[in-house]
Amino acid sequence: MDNDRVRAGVVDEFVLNRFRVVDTPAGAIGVVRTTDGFYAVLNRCPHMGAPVCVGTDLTTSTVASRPFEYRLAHEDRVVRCPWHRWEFRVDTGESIGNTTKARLLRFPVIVEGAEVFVQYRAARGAAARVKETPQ
Amino acid sequence: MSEALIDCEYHVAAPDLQLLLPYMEKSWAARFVRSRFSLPLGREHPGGGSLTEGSSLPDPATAGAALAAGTRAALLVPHQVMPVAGWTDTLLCSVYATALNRYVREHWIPADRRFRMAIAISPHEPELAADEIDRYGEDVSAAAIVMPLLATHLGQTHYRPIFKAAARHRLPVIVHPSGREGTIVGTPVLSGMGPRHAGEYHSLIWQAAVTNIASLVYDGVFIDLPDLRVVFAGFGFEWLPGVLWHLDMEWRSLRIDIPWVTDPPSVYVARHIRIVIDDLGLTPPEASRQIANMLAEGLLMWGSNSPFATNSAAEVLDAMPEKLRAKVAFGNAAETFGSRLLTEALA
Amino acid sequence: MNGVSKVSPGVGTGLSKPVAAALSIVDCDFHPFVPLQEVIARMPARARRSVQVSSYAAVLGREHNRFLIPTGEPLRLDAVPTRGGLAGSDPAFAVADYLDRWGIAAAVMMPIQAMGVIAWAAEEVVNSYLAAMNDLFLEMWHAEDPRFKMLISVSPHDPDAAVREIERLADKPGVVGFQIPMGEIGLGSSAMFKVYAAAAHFGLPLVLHPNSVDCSLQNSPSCAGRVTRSYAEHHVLLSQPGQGAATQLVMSGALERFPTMRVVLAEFGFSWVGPMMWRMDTAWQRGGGADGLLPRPPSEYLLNQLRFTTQPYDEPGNPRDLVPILDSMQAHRTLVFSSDYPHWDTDRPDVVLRRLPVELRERVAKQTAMETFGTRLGL
Ligand code: FES
Repeated sequence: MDNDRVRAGVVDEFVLNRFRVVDTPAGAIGVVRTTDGFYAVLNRCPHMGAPVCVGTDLTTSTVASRPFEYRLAHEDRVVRCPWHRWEFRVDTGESIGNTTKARLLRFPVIVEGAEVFVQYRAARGAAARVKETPQ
Repeated sequence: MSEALIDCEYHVAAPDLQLLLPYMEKSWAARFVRSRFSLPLGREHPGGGSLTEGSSLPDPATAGAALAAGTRAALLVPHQVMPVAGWTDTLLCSVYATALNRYVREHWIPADRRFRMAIAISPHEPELAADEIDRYGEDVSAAAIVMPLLATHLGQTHYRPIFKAAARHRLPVIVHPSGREGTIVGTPVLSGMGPRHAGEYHSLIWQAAVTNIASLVYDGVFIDLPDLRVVFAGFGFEWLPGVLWHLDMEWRSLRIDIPWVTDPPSVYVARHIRIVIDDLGLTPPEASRQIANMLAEGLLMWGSNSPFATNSAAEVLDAMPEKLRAKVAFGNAAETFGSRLLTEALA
Repeated sequence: MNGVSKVSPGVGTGLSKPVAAALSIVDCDFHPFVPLQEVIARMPARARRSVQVSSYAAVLGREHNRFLIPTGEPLRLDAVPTRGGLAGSDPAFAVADYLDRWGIAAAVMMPIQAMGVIAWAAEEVVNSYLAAMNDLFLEMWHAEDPRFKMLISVSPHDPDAAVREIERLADKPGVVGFQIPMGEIGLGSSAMFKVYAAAAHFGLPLVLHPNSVDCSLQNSPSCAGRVTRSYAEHHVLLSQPGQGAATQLVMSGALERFPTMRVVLAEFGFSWVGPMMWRMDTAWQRGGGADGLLPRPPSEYLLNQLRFTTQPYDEPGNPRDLVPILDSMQAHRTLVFSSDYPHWDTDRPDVVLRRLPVELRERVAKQTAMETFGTRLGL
């Protein structure tokens, strides 16, 4: 069991909507506390591999509207990449506005008492397209 | 039996101002004469090039016979309207465009049952242009609208009355170079200080199409007006794939600012934009084929650019992939310009 | 790991595996900052009083609200130096975060802070501002790590001053080329010839880059049409000033006149190069005005003397579609790598190089850049 999870901190250390990035054997994973619980995603953007959990907090986006209307949506559930600003839902990993089929890789988070763990072997969602090592 | 063709760009011109004056109010006709209005030369193509030595402008009586073999319909583009982009008397521009249309309607349309009008409009006064479109809204001899570009991009609200009228009557809007881009204030600038000669103009004129395609798609014109089609003629097509990749790429990054664009921009282009190929230049035919293959099948249409043609229909079509040939020659235009184009009965 | 965690709240964690050994790369478009107070402090007192150097906003030259950046910030949000400040303002951080991480053998520094001078009227203010900035880039960046290579920024307004600045700095170690802030200046006009002659004398390539105030200030590089409404529309047209520059340089005969001159068009993309080259050749063949100036087809000058950068790298739905586009521009000799680090639209080196056809990777990563900048790269 211990081999499958990494401690990400204690609950109180988590600022709401701000990722803490932990190194795991599966790569760096961003863990974040939201108003409906913890989420964890691989800290690697499926586009070009940017550290997608670094540089911005969970944020809000816009959805389909008539031209020149801005309707806010996905309040505080949006991971916005620090590079090309692609946006994904933190809970489903899916692209906001369906701009890509690629998704964030998600991991289960377990809270035991005050301790927060991420289960790094239990990735869900499509694999990130970008590998770290060049061929 | 020659292959079926629809000619999306057949230039026609009035050889003399006298032919237009009867189609204006007397006071306006007097003003044109008094102020020595200079009728743009029909023998000069606004985007560069003129008739070769010895050849002459077609006239209505002989033009039908000069259509390429197999032509089922030809869109008459009165290119003398293009220079209005550089004129400042915007009311005069509208009066002039109206006169050109009446001239084409009365002198050309009856001459051959395959002729269809592209209604010439001046984009300076969009409400007046919309009135002009409405005048031909029910006329089956009119199958399109044609105008030059102003500096203002097509997505901006200035043009909405024109596009609304166009969509109302299901008339595609053809835009065509005016030859003034980059040099005359009020027309689109081209990047890089303005062209120093025709060669620089030809090298850069396609930029005006790119800018306006981006503006139309990103500003949601086709979301407001789903029946609208905008056709770019005379700008080439070989630059399109890279432009579509970039339109899609910026949308993936910046969609939050244009959330009404719910499909990839290239999808809107495939649905609403058409490109007339009228000149291959020195693009290698193999490259033309490869590039056409990257594009949506309904996008490209053939135009002769007659009487300034640099390629025969066969040359253009030979440079298309086999699977696209009939679409570029005929099918895409039939689809875009609709039933008016091939209706037999004309008034 | 046995549940023992290493919590890293810090920067760049996701890019933690260096690939330095695998690739050796010349980056032809890297964006560092220098502290402007320091630049201004080095200017003569009279020039310092100029309103144009009195505020950061004026130096950037941007009318801020003109087209707002949708997410508020044009820089990579993960590249903020550990010690604070703007991404790209800390040489030591950039060494670790960028050069070492990706195996960058040389990074050609394109100073965006130099660009605003396109709108300045007082020539002596422009000249002293650029001179102070040039010195500072050498002292602060090249001295920190010799992999940071210097472009001499020269005045777009005053060819004589540009020549003097080239002469002053051309032989300094670390200098690999020069740059002219882009604007509506006649790159093909004879007024520029003395600048090109000086650069040719020292073997310095010219590097051109979007001005960052494109389509904004009077005299800034224009995009076709006139005024873009949104940042998205603006950003899609970023390549147009580069297309204008390429056209001017080729069709004016400037490249014909200076056959050893090399020009790198940085961050203007590349998928338009082949198609525009065919248009140039068509116009030339038809006697469109360039025929009297160019004894050979425009494509020859373009292919021999112009170089284009990979960023922003095209992303076609079908990656194979890039192959004919790369072939048409003879990418094996015209395309060089660029990252645009630390700007938001950066390209990641290994990703871009891997997306290129195998036979192009070495050429694009390093060899063509070495041919372009020559021994000055010190590689
Ligand atoms: S790397 Fe994340 S959007 Fe490009």
